[in-house]
Amino acid sequence: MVLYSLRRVLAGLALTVLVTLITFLLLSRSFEDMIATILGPDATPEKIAETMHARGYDRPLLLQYGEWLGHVIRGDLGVSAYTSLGVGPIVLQRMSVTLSVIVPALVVSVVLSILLGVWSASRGGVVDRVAQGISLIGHLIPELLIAIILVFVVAVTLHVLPATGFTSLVDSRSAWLRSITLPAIALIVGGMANITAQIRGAMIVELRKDYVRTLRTSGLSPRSIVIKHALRNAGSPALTVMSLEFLALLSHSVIIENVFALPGYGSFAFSASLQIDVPVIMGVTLVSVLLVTVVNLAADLANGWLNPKARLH
Amino acid sequence: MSRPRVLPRRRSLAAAVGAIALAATSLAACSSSDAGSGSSGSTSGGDALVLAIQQAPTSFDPSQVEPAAAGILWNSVYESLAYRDPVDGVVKPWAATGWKYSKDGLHLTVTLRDGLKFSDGNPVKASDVAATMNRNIETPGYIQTQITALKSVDAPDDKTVVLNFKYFDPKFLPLLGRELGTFTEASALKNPNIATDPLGSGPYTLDKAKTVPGSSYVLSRRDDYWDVASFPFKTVTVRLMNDPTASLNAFKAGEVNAVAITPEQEAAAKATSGAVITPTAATAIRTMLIIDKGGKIIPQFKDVRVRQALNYAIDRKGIADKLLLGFAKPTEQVFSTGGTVHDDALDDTYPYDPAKAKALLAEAGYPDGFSVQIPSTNVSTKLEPTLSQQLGAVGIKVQWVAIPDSQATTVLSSGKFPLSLKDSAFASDAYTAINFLGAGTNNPEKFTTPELTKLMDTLNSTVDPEAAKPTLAKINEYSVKEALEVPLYNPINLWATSQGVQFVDKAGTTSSVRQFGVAAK
Repeated sequence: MVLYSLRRVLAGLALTVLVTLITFLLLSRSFEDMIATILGPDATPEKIAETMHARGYDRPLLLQYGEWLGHVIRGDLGVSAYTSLGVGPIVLQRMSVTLSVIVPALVVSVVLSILLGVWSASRGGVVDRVAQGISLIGHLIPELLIAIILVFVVAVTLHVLPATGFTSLVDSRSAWLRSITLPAIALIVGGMANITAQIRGAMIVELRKDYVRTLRTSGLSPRSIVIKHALRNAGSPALTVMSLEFLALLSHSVIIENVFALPGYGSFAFSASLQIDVPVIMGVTLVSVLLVTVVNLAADLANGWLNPKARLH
Repeated sequence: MSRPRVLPRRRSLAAAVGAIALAATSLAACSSSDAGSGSSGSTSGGDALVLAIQQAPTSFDPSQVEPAAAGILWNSVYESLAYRDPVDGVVKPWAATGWKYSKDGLHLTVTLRDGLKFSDGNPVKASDVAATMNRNIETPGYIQTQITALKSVDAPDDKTVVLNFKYFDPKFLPLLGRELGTFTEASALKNPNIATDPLGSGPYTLDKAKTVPGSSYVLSRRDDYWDVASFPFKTVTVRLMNDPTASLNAFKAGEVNAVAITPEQEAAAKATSGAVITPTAATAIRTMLIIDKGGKIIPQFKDVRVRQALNYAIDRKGIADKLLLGFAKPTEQVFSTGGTVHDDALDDTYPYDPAKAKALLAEAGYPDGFSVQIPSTNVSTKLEPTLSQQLGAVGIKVQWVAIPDSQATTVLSSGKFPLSLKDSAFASDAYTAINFLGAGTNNPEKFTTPELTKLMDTLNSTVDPEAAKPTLAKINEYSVKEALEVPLYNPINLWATSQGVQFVDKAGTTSSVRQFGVAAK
């Protein structure tokens, strides 16, 4: 297991270097545009060239990338080309906002999806049709539309919860809960659609297997059969879906953060891309790749714990 | 095949209902006990200005400040030597009491007001202003591109600042009322965190404890400020919202009390209780720049008749009334209504007349027209179908070439496109003349004619702004008659305010707290 984890970590690091290198090379075509934007509409081509030189953007690309990577290894992600703020601290600050929305959204999605998925698979009938209906609605209605409806009804019309803004958990727990409730609900609807469908499907397959029938005839309680045996076996594929769902929530946060004006990671990455803020884009790319690697590794390790067969691969 | 039922029905249903009820109760409790707290609470009108902006501020470093929407932040924390009055548009002294050019225009002597203090309590000295400006000369950034004429700045005594120029720059003085006149304490220039930790002598200080960089900025008014009466708001909160719909929702929910809106959002904003919608002055200009007046790419553009045909071919009024819902003022001159030489009579030079445009093209030897490539940017997107149709109707076939927004500036000097659409903000008439018809970026090919060269030489050697007005008027008239550009319209933007806040700017000044006032009760 240790060797397996080490191999995955090394592969993740190699992937990080490759992705950031490709990103840097692609961005290199826009260095001049970035400098022109910083200098404003009255910048002459000569002034742009002079500033490119002063900031070192006219040096060989691999040298620039190597320098960036060297700084990253020392924990320095550079500073934003526009705001002069440190990329590392801003990325962490923005990521904390996003995680404080998507982690609760994922936890609620998982809990509700397990309840609904297990319930519908084991009971069938109306409950099953309701679960399938929720799953279908979650797939059909885009999160953007759900978010807009929530803002209009709950915030603008009823004034129950704020339409925009974010309060940190450290500043006020209740204000934080109020600020993340609507964005989290918008994410939960989509998240539940995938996870519920997966758990329901996996549970139906498990509950039809011979060992379940054997357990039932041997007198085990239905609760014990479902929770201790069937759910554990069905959990493995569901875990993969959950890890994918986490990454999907991270990417969907771009939309949700714009609608609710949340100062999160998604909107930050989006703005940096529009501005071509090279140091910020590189920092965001690095953290995103590392996050994907860590989440996938965590999912694999959890799978290994749930399913001994997975540890062999 | 039916599936086996393995769980009892009643207990799980009760658990789910209980969990939902508990969550709803908790949220309702939060809602009642916590209303108005944090960044998501309602604004308290009268003494608090809470506005939403879409573009993040770049930096508080005086060498990097820009006249964008986020300018409200730095020009509240920093004083400038002058300011442009939002009511009458006149550049007036602020930290300065006055200024005077030398006869040759190579030295500008500025006298500072008595009793100015930085927010740390230290007095403002001329040496602080000189140190800031000298650093700006050396530091690459937006400000540096505006002060290419400035050689050095001296401080002969505590109250006198002398700006020394390489050559007289007629557009410099009005810009003192914007970002060029900004200064900080000399010692603060050595602060490595100057981008986020400003020290100014302005009416507000940045409340760093309540500010989240890149998200929400809180300014607190200085009680010891010498002109506190001109700044009625005790606190100014600037919230960054990338999405215009989010800004409008925040306004409708009472979370901000001032927001710039689009014409399409007017009805929704107006429906908000207590909302007042105020149009801005039409000062910026959207122009189809004729970059290739020298005819390097499209030889036809050397001919004045072809340039005039372009101007006749476009239905400016139709675009303003129908496409832009009336929120634009059609114009045929690049000189803005915010200046002193704009002449309404010149706006009737090229009425929409496709037949005349075709006749001019035929007269110039192009009866079948020609094809032209224009960069497609966020400035042009909305106009493209209309412009293609109107220019196509006189024989000019347009091909729009998609360009990333980030290249909107560099594309002008790329030498690839003969025409390009651009928005240009108004700074002063002299700035407009130089930008469009002199050495500015809107004239990347540096096109000129003997008559234009003579007029620009006169402008560049007339130190007295009053004496320069006739020359500027002649430049304006010449550029219209020679159809040197295709001006389209001055966009009119809208501000929605509520809760006792009003938008008082009638002159189209750059973003500042001075643009807002407290509404009479």
